[in-house]
Amino acid sequence: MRPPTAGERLGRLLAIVPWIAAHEGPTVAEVCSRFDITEKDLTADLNLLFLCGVYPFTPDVLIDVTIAGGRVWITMADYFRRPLKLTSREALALVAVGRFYLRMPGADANVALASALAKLARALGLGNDEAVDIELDSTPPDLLARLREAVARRSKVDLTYYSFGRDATTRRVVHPWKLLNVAGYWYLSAWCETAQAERVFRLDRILEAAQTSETFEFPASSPARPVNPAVFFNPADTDTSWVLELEPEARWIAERYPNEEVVDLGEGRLRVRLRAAERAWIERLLLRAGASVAVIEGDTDVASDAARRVLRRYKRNPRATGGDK
Amino acid sequence: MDRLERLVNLVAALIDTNRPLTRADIAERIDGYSSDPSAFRRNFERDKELLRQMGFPVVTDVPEGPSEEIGYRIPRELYELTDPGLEEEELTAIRLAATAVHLEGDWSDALVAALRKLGGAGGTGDAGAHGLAQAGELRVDASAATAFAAIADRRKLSFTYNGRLRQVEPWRLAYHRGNWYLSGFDLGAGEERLFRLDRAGSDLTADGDPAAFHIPPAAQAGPAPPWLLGDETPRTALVVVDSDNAALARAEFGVSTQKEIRPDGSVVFELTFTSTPGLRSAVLGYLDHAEVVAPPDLRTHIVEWLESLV
Repeated sequence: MRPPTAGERLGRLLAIVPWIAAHEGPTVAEVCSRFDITEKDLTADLNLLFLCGVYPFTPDVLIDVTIAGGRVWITMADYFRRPLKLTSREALALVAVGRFYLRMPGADANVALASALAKLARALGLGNDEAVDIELDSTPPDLLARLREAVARRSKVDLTYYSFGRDATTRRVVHPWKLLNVAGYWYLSAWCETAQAERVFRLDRILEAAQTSETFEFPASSPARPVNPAVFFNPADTDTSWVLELEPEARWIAERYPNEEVVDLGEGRLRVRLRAAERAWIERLLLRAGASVAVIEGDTDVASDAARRVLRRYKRNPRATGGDK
Repeated sequence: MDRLERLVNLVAALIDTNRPLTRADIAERIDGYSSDPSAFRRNFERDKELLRQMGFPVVTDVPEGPSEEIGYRIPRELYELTDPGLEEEELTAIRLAATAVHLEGDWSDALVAALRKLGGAGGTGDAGAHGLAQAGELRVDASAATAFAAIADRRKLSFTYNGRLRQVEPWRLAYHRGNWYLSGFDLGAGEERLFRLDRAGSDLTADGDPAAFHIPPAAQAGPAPPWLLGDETPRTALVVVDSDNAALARAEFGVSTQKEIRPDGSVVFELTFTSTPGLRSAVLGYLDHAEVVAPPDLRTHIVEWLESLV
């Protein structure tokens, strides 16, 4: 890990000083655990404070730090009696994470978190109003509850799953490891017995999930790892490469999906190179974007083939009015 | 001398003073600056820039007296965090949320910095992300932070959207399916509008005075789906989705829009829409597993759209 910069140390120190000053000689261990800092770093920073103060730096205006018997006291630091205000980044990070957690199943009864967020909103000038709303997707709560139970009991699950990329429905037995909410969508991270590999399933594409009577063991090496959105959209070198030319109204494609190259063609037009493992993925993209995207490299018939297939459906039933039987 | 020591002394001096400190005052009062004037100037500018980046409110002022030289200070009322008065268990609850919900990129550093200012960032230890049966990942970005600050300060925001420069009184932020939305009063349009922040054509800039407007109580819960993000007269569409894709469509359209389950398992959805492009995109996302059955002109529109691709 790189050593912290002077700015990072300053930010940390100016948060720690008012807290120590406001408490009656807390233990060094508590300060370290509370502020996520090693004792060595804390001592180094506090030693430096001994020498700080204001003009004319006579003893009566120098910050007084005492470390004795594993406890620490700070006095004479009145200009640092409160921490610095939160920056907009810090305030949003805090509020968004709190609101997100409050929306997770079972957290709605988290009274302490709800009251903490209300107090923060007031202190930040947001009033009582809910200025930030986090919405998680509308997965049927019973599916979520069933899967949470399977994770807790380590029950294998018989899963019927619609694979969006391949546009096909499959059935498999999985070992449910963990439920994740990424960007509002719920996912199940699991070991797939068919693929003999870890797979991630989106809950709104699970058609059926039945707990079986069999249980599973977590592998010795922990399956849990940092949540990484790349798991969910991770093009491989072996995927088909596509080059698309985008009219200005289709520029969002270059901003939204990972790509290998973007060339500005002027007048708001872009040429983008991206990879897609599954044909259905690129079909969807092209049908939605319509004439504002042209395929330059790759199967240049992909959009017209897909359009014909959908058109056949519409032509089969040319005067559908539907729903009125 | 350690730069950190110089910075602590500089911040203390700028807070402690009751008059703006000129460069000469600072050179005289703070140890650790070079006695060479140009080196002093360079180092002081660097320190001042760092403090501003970190959110220190370093203000400039011309001190009273004969000199016209600019001075600097940090007003206490702009510096100090208002104590939200969190109980220990409330702080613990926030810490736990911060452990379970991961922020992308260097936003996790901002979160740790925020927790420290509130009086603690550690303490969840081994009950961390690995031990939780559920966890979350959230994306935050700079424009959402700018909008957040503007809401808190009740300041107007300017940005380009759909090719036009907007002046907006920001009201609320919503995070929906990985995207940040801002609702507010569009001064040019004279109406409430909803903006998807990643579609803004420029950075967001807060301008004008704080406390410039009042925020009315929330009118709607969360952002509308794409087919309701238009200016057309509201109409009703019927969309049929094959059984294999029905669960997906139920999640996208909402259970309440489900009108009928047909014997073959396909499902008819009844959707109110104000944006033809929004509805077209949603339906075409199902490829040949979904079809608009009514109204006829929407059906014709989709057929023509597809024919233009053949």
